[in-house]
This record gives sequence, structure tokens and C-alpha cells, in this order.
Amino acid sequence: MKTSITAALLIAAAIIIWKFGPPAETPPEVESSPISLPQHSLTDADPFRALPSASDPITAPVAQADNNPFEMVLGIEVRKDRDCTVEVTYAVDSSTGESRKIYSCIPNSPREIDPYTTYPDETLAGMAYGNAHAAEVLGLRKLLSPDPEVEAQGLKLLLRSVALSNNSRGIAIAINARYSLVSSTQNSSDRVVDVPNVKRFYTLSLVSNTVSPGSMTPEIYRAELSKAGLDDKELDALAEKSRQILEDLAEIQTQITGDTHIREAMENA
Amino acid sequence: MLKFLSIVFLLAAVDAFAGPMEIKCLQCRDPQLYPKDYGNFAFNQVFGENSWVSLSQGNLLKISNRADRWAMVDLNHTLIYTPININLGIISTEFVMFSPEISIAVYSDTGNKHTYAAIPSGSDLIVGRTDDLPLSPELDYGQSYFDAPIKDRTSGSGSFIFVPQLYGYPGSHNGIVIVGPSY
Repeated sequence: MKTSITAALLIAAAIIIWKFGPPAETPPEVESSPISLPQHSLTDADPFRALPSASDPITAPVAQADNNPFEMVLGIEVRKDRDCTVEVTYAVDSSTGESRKIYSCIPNSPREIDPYTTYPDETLAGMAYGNAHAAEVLGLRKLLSPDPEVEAQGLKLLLRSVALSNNSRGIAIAINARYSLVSSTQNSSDRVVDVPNVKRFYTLSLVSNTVSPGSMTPEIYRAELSKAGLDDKELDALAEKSRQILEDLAEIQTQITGDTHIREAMENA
Repeated sequence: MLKFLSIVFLLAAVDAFAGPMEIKCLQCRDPQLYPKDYGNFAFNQVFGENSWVSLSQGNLLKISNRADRWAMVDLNHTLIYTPININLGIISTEFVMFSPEISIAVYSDTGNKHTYAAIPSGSDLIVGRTDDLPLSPELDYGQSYFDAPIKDRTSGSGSFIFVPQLYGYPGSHNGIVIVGPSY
């Protein structure tokens, strides 16, 4: 009896060793990591990866409707339309001995570079008068400047792109790049609300919602500011600032494109 | 031999219960100084130009950098909970709706937490370049659109949005948080 158990366990060990064989080539994204000793890598394109098994969550095929945009690959749910190969690297943390799985998705083809991002500032500045994308690219570049004046020019250009394209994407870019912080909590202390940022957030969200209804939720930031101690008068002043910005945008839009969408949206708001 | 196999099976069991998915971020800097590197990187995996992870899979991610510093990132759609009740006969209900913004909570390995919001726009958020830039005292754009920053930032324990704080630890809500005034 004991012999047969030992034999069964030896067979199981052999299967495990076969499944987790010698290390594969380390993926570029983790090869310089000092942390760990890669044990084995699997990819969704690896013909030698573990054979499918109905009971193995890593490789079991998942019955899905055709319209499901996601699929299970290597045990995680990923997009079907991804342009990359999912890879998992098994690693052992040398300090704790813990086993870890580190996922990555290696691009299948070189990423396309937006040609506008290669243009110098002067070229983009000339184009930004009537080209929304040029205004957007130059605006983001300037918004990230440590110089406050240049940063202000960046916001101006991003708002201009909103007027030219009649789309609030430029505001989303500005918020995502610089003005997104809402609060922080350090060392379990009280939550600190970043009031200046949330004020920007609220004002820009009002502009965004007028240009592209439903694109943001100003009520959230108004409530956050209200909780932070701003009264209705101060909040209304921010709303008035958003109307000033919209006035400027409506004028730019009418002058350059002849469109009156923003003006009409303001009147209907 | 039996001890060896027991350890093998035990490691496999631990591995199956490993917790959040981990992704390496080579551009991410010190998580205590630059927490948004980690939040932005996680956002890009789910909502960026070359996104590949589903929100249900990526709503809680462990992002580690080259030096093995890490942060947990909690991504959530926000459900707006309105105080309006409609009495439908015997059923009283409230309106809830999705906010377009995604709330991002970054828990660094030193215990600090940063909460911010990002708007999916089809573009990647910037990793490894921002966070250390000073904000302008006012953004004029030809006129003063915004007031100067308030030096003494308001503090308080209340939370209207970004409920990961209310839940205490990320990952308990599968990509959706419900927000609204507390009653």
C-alpha cells in the first residue's frame, strides 16, 4: 500500500516537473528586475504551454457568448481585441521565499507614434490656430511645464482644442495630466482634500458637461467642495468662472469654425 | 520525498490564493513620492490606448517597480446615489447612475493613500514624469479663472465620493462603488 502511494506521488511529481519545466526566455519587461528568480514563463501564444484541462483554471477553456469582449488567458480576464501577447512569469522573492506571478502583455507590433508629437513647439503653435489636434498636443506639452505661465498657456490651448473640435476631450486630458488629485491620507492621518485641485476639477467639469453633456459629474466635486467648507457663494463663483470660459470658447468656435454649438449649449443649459 | 511533495502542493495551494494580479511597471518611481505613477499605470492597463485587462480583473492590481517597491491600486467606476426617492406603490427606490469618471485609490507600501479621479479619453495617463511639478498659483488664460491655492488644506474624515476609503481596504467592491450623502 505504502509503495503504491509513493509510486503515485512520484508520478504526480514527474507531471509537475514536466509542466513547470526549465525557465523560458525572460520577457523584456521583467528581465532587469532585481527581485526574483524567474522560474518559468507562459504566454498565450506559447505552443508548449500546459495542456488544457477541464479542472485547471489557468488553461481551462471558458464557454462565452460571442459578443463577450473578454476572454480568459493564463487565468486572467483580458480583452479579445488586445494587440499584445499575455505573458506570466513565475518568480520567487529571494527575501521572503514567496512565489509570485507577474503578468505582462508584450506588444505584437511596434506602437504607432502620433506624428504631431514629433513636431517642434513653433510648428504646432502655428497649426494650433485652427487645428484641434495640434492645440491638444502642444497644450499637453506646455501643461506639463514646471513654469506656471507655460502651464497656463497649456490649459488655454487645451481649452482651444475643445472649442475647435466641439469635444470635451481636451479637458479630460488637462485633468488627467495635472488636476486630478482629490485627497490623500498619510500615515493613517485624516483625509486631506486638495481644495485647489478640486476647484479646478469642478469648474472644468461644468465646462465639459456643457460642451459634451454627461461627460463628467460636476455634482460630485461640488459636494466634495461643500464638505471641505466652501459655501454656496464660493461654489457659485466657480460656476460663474465656467461660464466665462464657455463664453471664450463659444467665441473661438464661432470665429474659427463658424459653428455655434457651444453658444447654443450655453443658452439651453 | 513526502515532505518535498507536501511543500510542492502547499505552494500550489498558496499560489492559487495569491490575491490581486501583479504587473511590473518599469517607469514607476518611489510609490511614496509618486503614487500617481502607479495609479496611472494601472489605469492604462484597463482604459489606456493599448488596454488589455478587463475592469473586473484589473479593479485591484498590485503594481511593482524595478526596485520591487509596490503599491496596490483600486480602480472603480463610481455610482452616483441620488437622494430622490420614488414611491412605486409598495416599492420605494432611489436613482443610481454611473459616473464617467474613474476613481483611483493608490495604497503605497508605506501605508499612505492617494485618491484621485481620471476620465477615460482613449489616451494613456502619464507615468514617470509628473507629480513633482508645482501647480501654478493661478491659471490666467488671459484672465483669472481660478483662485490662488488655499494654503491650509481642509482636512476631515468625511467622504462623499471615492468610497474605497469607507471600505477600509480595496478590492471588496468589484469595480463599482456607490457614493452619496450619508444619512
